[in-house]
Amino acid sequence: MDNKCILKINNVTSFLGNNKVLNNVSLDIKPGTLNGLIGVNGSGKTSLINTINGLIKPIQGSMNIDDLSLNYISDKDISKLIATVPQNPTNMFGFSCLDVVLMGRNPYIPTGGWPNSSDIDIAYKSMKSTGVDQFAKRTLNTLSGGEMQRVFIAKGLAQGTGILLLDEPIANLDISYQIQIMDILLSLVNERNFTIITSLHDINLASLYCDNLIVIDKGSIVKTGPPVAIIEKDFIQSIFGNRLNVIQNPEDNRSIIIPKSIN
Amino acid sequence: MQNLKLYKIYSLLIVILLITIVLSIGIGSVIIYPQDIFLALITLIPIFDYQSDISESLIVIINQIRLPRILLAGIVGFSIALSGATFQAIFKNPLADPYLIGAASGSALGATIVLMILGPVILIQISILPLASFLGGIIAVGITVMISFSSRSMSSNTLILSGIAVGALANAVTSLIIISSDPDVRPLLSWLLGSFNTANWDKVLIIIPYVLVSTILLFRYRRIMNIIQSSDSEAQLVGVEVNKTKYILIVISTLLTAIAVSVSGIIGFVGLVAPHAVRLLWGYDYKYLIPCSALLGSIILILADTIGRTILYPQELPVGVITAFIGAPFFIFLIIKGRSSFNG
Repeated sequence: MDNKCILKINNVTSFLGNNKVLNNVSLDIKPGTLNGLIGVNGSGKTSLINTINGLIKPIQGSMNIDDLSLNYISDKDISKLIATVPQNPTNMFGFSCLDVVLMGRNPYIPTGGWPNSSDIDIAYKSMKSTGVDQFAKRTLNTLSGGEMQRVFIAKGLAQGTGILLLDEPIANLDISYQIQIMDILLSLVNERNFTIITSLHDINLASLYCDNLIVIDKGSIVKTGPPVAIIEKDFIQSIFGNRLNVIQNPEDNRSIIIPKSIN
Repeated sequence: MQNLKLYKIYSLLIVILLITIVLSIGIGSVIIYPQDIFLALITLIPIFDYQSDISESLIVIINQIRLPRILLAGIVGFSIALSGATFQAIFKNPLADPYLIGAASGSALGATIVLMILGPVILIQISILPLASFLGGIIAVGITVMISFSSRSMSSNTLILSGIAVGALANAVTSLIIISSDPDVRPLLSWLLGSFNTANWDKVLIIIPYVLVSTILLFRYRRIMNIIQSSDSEAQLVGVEVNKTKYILIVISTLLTAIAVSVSGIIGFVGLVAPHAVRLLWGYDYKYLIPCSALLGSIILILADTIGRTILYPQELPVGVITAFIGAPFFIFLIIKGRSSFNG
């Protein structure tokens, strides 16, 4: 499958109720890249993700995938282009993992229809690429947090899109599961040419894995670029506060962020 | 494997339904044995052209009294249970029942107003009543939903509380109309309290097309009902037009309630008990929750009506009394059992 796609966002402003959550945001996402969205709580990471996927309709600006404008297409058509793993997906009580992943096939199944063998095939392939195919028949609520998150990523993959958005996919997970999820995202980009935008709290993991970091603050994008250009002491302190230090990892000279010592 | 199990469940319910029907035809002031019921039914079907030696009076009892009443109870139970299961799916609220969210009381008010205006013109009534009931029901549900949305707390109990309030108001207006009505018209309104004692073939035939169309439409939405059990935003992210779908489903399930109310009055709790029994027995997938609830609703209401007309014979208990005896304790059980999960 050819996943060649490019996401272009031009001067987008959007509101949530009366609050302006995105202020004149422009962004250019290259195909086949892993993009990390970082910023403090409430900076607009989730709002940016939900504006791209159509949950929040922008009041101004334009968004395009390749040359297709997203402003005027239906939710169903958007769901064939962009899949989203939301922050806390509903733990659907009583449904098997296969059932949940098959819900990702909805855009391709007519209202009165049921998944056919090709849908089931795609669901199994998606589960295989996140390593959860062995849980297909188990109910979702019997899985651990990390396993459940991989099922939700598989559901996103089953949508057959070229773009995958994830909102804090590794929040609430142990560090070993965080690395496991990030490895999966990396392999989707490298082996299947997915374009991924994921918000992340852990800036070090973000800079380790991502091709590109997008820093958002108070609804505006303040800087984008490769991690080496972002993880720089003065800039990081201006966003995340001056109690942080940037040091070099002796192993590979990578810049990493640690809290300053407590005196 | 999964499908094999489903067919077993469907077959089981259909067999129980048939046994219930035969049993209910047999029980009453005159006991009729299954072989006589079988022969009488064959006699009643013209294409068989069969003359049995069963007495004419037995055939009249079966054909004119018991069969239409049982079929009506069965179809009404089917409709209310279907309506309840769908309301529960739309509102993601396991306590949403056509009775508890005001749909049934609103429908009864709509029907009452039309009866008062038209007076005792029986034939016109039965063809126009379903529509009048539907209007009353959809207005009541609309008000219930608006109240629960405008209250800031998104607790699922708000819907039920506003439904109970709207229902109580509609019931009060209905009672007022009945009490202030012409004494000649009053008996015509007695069925609104929930009873099948005015059942006849006309009523059965009038509601069949509505129930059939609604059922076919609802069955098409079973997969989408599963998806909207996640959250509205998650459903939209996989391309479900959430609001449009909910409006369609609210209209269909209110119509089913209204149809039921227009021929049998307000019968509570079947829409709650049937889907929950299915959940307890076979799980949460609407693919089979919808058909199984409908079949179980049929069975429950036929049994309840049979108990109602026989237990204190020659007096008759309204079927709503029987369903309340079964349903109210079940409702309390659900509230206690689900305290932690419902208050979310």
